[in-house]
Amino acid sequence: MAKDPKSKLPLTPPVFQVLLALADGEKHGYGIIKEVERRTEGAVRMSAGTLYGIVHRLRKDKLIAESGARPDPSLDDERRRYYRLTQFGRLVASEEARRLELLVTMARGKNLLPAGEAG
Amino acid sequence: MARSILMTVMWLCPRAFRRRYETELLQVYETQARETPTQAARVGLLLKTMMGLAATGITLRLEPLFADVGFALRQMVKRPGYSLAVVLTLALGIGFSTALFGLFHSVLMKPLPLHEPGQLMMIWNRYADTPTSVAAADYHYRREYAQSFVDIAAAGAEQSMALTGDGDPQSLSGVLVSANFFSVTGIAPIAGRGFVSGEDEAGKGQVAMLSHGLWLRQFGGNEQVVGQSIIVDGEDRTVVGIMADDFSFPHSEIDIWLPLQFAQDKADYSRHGNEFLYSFGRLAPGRSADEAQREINQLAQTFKQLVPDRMSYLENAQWGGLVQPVEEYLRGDVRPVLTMLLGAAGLVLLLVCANVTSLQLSRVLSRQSELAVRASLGASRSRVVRQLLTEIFVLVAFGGMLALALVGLLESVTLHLLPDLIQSGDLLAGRVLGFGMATMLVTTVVCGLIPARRFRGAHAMTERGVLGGRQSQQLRKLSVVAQTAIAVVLVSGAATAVMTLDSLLKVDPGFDPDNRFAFRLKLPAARYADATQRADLISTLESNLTVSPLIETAGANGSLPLLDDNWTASFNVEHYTPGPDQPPPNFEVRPVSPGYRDAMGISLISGRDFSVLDHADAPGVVMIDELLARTYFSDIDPLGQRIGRGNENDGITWSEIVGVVAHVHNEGLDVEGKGQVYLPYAQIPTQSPWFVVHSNSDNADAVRDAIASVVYELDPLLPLDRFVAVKAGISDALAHAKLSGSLLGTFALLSVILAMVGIYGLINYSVASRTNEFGLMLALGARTPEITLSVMKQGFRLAALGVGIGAVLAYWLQKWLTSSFVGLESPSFATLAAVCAALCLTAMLASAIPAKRAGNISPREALQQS
Repeated sequence: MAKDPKSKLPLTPPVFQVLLALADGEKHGYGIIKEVERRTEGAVRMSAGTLYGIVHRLRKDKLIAESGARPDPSLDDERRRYYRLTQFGRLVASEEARRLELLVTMARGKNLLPAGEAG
Repeated sequence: MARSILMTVMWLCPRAFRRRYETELLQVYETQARETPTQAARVGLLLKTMMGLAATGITLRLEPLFADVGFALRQMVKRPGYSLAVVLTLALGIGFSTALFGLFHSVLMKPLPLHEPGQLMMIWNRYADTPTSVAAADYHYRREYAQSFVDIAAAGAEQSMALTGDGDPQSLSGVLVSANFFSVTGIAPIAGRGFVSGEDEAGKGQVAMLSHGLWLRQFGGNEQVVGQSIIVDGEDRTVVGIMADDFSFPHSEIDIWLPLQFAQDKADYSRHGNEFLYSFGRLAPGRSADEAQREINQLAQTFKQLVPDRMSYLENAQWGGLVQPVEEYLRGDVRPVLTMLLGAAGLVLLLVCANVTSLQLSRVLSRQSELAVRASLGASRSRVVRQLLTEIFVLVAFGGMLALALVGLLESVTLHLLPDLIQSGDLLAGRVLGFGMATMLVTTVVCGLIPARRFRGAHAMTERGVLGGRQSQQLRKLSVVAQTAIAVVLVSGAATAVMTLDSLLKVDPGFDPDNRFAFRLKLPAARYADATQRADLISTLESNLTVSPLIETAGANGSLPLLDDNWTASFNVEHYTPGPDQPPPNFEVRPVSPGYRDAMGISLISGRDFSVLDHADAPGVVMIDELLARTYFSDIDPLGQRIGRGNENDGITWSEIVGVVAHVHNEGLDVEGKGQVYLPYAQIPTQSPWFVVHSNSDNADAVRDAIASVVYELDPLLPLDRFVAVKAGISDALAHAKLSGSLLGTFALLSVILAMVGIYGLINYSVASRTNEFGLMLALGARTPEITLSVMKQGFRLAALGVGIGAVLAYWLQKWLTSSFVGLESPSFATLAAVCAALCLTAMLASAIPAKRAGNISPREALQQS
């Protein structure tokens, strides 16, 4: 189904964070929470209740999918499910990043941000 | 612990979500919790997880509902005609039933401001079946001997009293009551005390009880007034208490209660005097109203033995006692009418449900392919049913909003026509709106579930006939016949009501209401104790008033037609002896001053008017009306004949008839009334006379000011009591007829609309389900007009059957109504025939649209569909 990724924009910050967490590889639920927490230096600490609401919606919209591949069972708890970004999900995340970039550029043009501060 | 809390909260989420994520979610939570160092932080984490879960659950639950509502709104817009028909039908049905429930609720279900009102009974006297007030002797006798009551109290008629002292004199509405009055009602004052035993004995009870309204208005709500002295009718009285806000008994809008002081010795039953008291008692524990009635009947028998000189009269007049629940006395005459209207509203709501269901059924049928597609794409049956319920719910919601506006409109109409019946906001009270919501819920369920039940899934949808079973088709035909019949009944009922109103408008009241104004004077007993004083004042006032350039004539009357109580009295007519079983002739009686007849515009038929020469010491004279003249003096000239008051034993005071005047409707435009006798006011100078002025202006305020200044000049302490335009009496008398006329008219219109919608829905449905058949007929050479005509015939046949049944029903119902209610016009065959013809025509029109569609079916498409 050729869907326009732009139809899903804009994303809410927690949704974008989940997509970002999955951008460099599949993760299980707890892994996603840890990754977001680490990357935001503890500023965003998602609860399981919020996370699975997001996971449910992202799966329904086919932005993420359950991953078939599992790490070695000896390293991992069997009950854990892993999630990965779909092709479409990656497109949506990039579109969102581009949208944000454009906003940042505009803010800079209005001297709201000193050049080179972002990042 | 935390685990079970989370699992409970998770119930907010749909089942699919729980099944998929429950284990995983709990596991993540537990891992997070293990890594959380402090107990407080763990509680925080639990709360955060719970909130997140709850938010997720609610969002997931509401999303499909929003989608359904959105879809339903799009469906509404797609078929605007259909949607409008359904929304309007629902609005009318819900609006009317809610408004009528509101009326019913505010008039009949409001709690009475009395303690255990079910135990309180009015105790009347009665002559045959006519109840009247009771005499002091009756009251004392029953209070002494009746075992069915804990206690019995008494009150006089409402009377006007003057409150003087600081500022302008105020006119109050007061009532004299027995000392036990407040204890029998069971209501204690909000401040101070009730009357105590002994205060109803002459000279002992210079006390007063204030109403809440008077207390706020006149004494600024200051509780210090209790114990203070006020001047009522020129006498000092100590305020002993203040009653609660809603208390006004036994009459409405009472300002002040004073102790009733009985002139007669309590134990002296031999003088059965004036029957002027309202008495009521509280039933003894375990006693019923029926038992009390039986005891009062027995007491009436024994009482008659105690009044030997009245015994034969009381026997002949079938005198006795009557027990009536106070609730019935206070809510009385409107109950049957309101109950009937509420029944009618329920019926209308039922018809609305039937119609909307029927419309929705044809809608489901015409959308069968769409629904089948949804079902085959995997929508479960419950999903499709939910969609259909949402669609009807959206329609009901729109209908409900319109209904609310309708209720508001009906409230202002009712307030305008019958301001005494309800107060502003009564129809929009919480419980009434609750009732409206309930009707909306019921309509949604009925109109949504019945059509939805017809949907049985993808496979069934494709089989023809499943949607419109034979049985349900029969039922719908029956409902259309019933609707048409009801419409005929209601329309002819409305026609009768309008004709009745019309004939009331044509009634000659016997006087001319134009540019005539009336006011009441309350002459304080203390300053105007002497009859001559009163007669002189009225006479002076009459001539002083006419000096004003605004006033042409003026005159006094003891009681104003239409606006005040009717006074009647028994008379002797010379040369006429009633039969042994007949009570003496009873006439309406009014003391009037010389200027009254002219001021009121009552025409003089023969003889002369009263003049100043008919003063207190002059020979007794009377004027009679044409009705009395016709009845008792049909073969002789009444002028010079005599009628008299009193009886054979005590002597009769005869008065000569000097004039005959037109008959006046004193009690109501629809009440013919009795023969009338006018006495010179100077010979019976009552305490609170009305004055009527005939002005050359219709400016009520200017006339009022002119009158007030004349009265003030004469006696600055005399309050100007009620001031009204005489016309107001006429419009008050018409208000009930107007309300029932407009309500019935609206119901009738509503029923016609409903019947039309019903016929339209049925024919539409039948055309939709017979598409293939019509296609085949057209393909085989049938012509469009033939098909159209055959469909219209189908509608006409049903309507004709309904009209026939309705005509018979309407005829019988109206015959019954005209025999039970005086003043109703009887139905004419022409009216009934016109109503029937109009409804048949309407039915044809209603079936014309679907019939035309049937004729225009394309044979190819129709056959392809199958």
